Amino acid sequence: MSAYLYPRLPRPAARQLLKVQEGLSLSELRSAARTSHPAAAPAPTGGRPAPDDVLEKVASSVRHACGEQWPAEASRAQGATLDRAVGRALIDNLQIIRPDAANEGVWSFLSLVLLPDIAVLRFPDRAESRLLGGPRNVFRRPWERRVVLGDLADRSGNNGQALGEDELVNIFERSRLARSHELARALAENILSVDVGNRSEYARELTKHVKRQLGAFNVDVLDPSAVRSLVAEAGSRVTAGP
Amino acid sequence: MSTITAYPYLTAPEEVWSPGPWFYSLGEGPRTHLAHDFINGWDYQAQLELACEVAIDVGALRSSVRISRGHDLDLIVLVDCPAFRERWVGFRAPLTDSGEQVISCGVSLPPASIAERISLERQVVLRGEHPAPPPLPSRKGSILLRDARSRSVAVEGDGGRFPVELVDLSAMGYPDALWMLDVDTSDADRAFLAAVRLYVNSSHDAKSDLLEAGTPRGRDLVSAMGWDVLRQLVVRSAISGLDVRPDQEEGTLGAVVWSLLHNRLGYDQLADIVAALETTAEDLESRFQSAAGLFT
Repeated sequence: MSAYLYPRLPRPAARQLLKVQEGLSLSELRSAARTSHPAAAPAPTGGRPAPDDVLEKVASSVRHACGEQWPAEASRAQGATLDRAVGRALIDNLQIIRPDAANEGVWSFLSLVLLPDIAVLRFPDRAESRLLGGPRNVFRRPWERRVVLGDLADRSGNNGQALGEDELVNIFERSRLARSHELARALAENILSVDVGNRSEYARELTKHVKRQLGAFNVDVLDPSAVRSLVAEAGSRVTAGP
Repeated sequence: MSTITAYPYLTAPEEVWSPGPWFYSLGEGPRTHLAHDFINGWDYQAQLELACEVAIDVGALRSSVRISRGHDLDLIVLVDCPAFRERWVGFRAPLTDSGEQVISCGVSLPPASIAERISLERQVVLRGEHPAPPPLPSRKGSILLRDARSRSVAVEGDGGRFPVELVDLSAMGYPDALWMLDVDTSDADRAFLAAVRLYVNSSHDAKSDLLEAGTPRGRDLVSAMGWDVLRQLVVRSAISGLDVRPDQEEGTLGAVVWSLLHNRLGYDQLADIVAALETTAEDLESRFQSAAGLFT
């Protein structure tokens, strides 16, 4: 499978687009969507720029994944389901050169040029942090979560629910945890398997326990089963209470 | 919910090891001392090799943490790439039971495996469980010795220190501007490379002079741009009330601004810049020129 470089929308141009799009409705944003922008260009070296047909395929796969939601703006409760669908579509179709995905301009391009309609469908309040390409970007976040968790992102837990937004935030916004992918997966598996009344509260305490240990303790040298044991041990302490 | 108990344990003193300098090579290129905090010439298709030597007095180390022979210790190099949100062990070698040991560490970073900036940290860790009461280290993965500071290296951005991108500024309504600095001052703890972008106008006639910098005009343009970037970074951080402190993590916007403020301009806090702008602006502007070495 080929991997591509995506156009990067510079931050000043992204801010200009934010202003231009401020008052546009979802259908107007869909009409304004493009596969190019005069200020956006891929990195000059290091790979093959994504051709228009690849960009169009990415756009159509993401729109298809959000088909059931469209045109009703997503509520907070619908967000996690939509993110899972978007993450899946992006992993399957983006084919991005991995370091290119670390560039915020790439994600700004996706949310403000290629798919502005879906960006606002997911985040109707149009918060700048969701539409610009930083770590909380509407597309970057579910893509990164899917890269780390793989199919775990879709798996239902003991309570019949997949990982919710609060639980994912506990894993991914404590970046020291998420930077060890093995640990992030072990945390996700543990949270899914636990049988407690309030799983979000459990996830918050679990991640806190594990993070406290990371200063003096290198989890990256452990094999996967030892990482799982470490998380299970922390989980037992959480459920045992004070 | 439960409280958290963490027991401290013995760690080894720095005297037991001597971690040597880092070297790098790109592809088939020469091995070069990593003297600066950036590597020029890396791109997504480049293979990057990093190497160093670490001399360890293993006997002294074991004795300082009271871990006898037979319990396995490893020297590792931890690679952290915040832009990728990934951290991994890039090198691992077992330590001997006693004596002096010199280990050649090599970290191979294949094409497209890193981005923006990486940090490297050498550690000695306990490989297996070591049943012992506190304060002796007992848990697998316990860190017994580590670099005093991890080595942070930028791999992206022309000139190393700044992420530079070529864009058509005329498309944004600034056809005659040669560069534009974008600084996101909302978070001092954000990685500098993510918070700052320098855009060079791809449709400007002087672009080639600026980027190649081999001509007298090019050198003057680079000098002027350096002064402007220094000034904008500090003034915009000051006006926005950026919270900078001397203990901020290396590589963050706050750490870079504090270093410029303290080491280059001789101020202790950004509030002094705001005050100077209001009262002694001429002195401040001269300091900026002097600190940047404008046209020198």
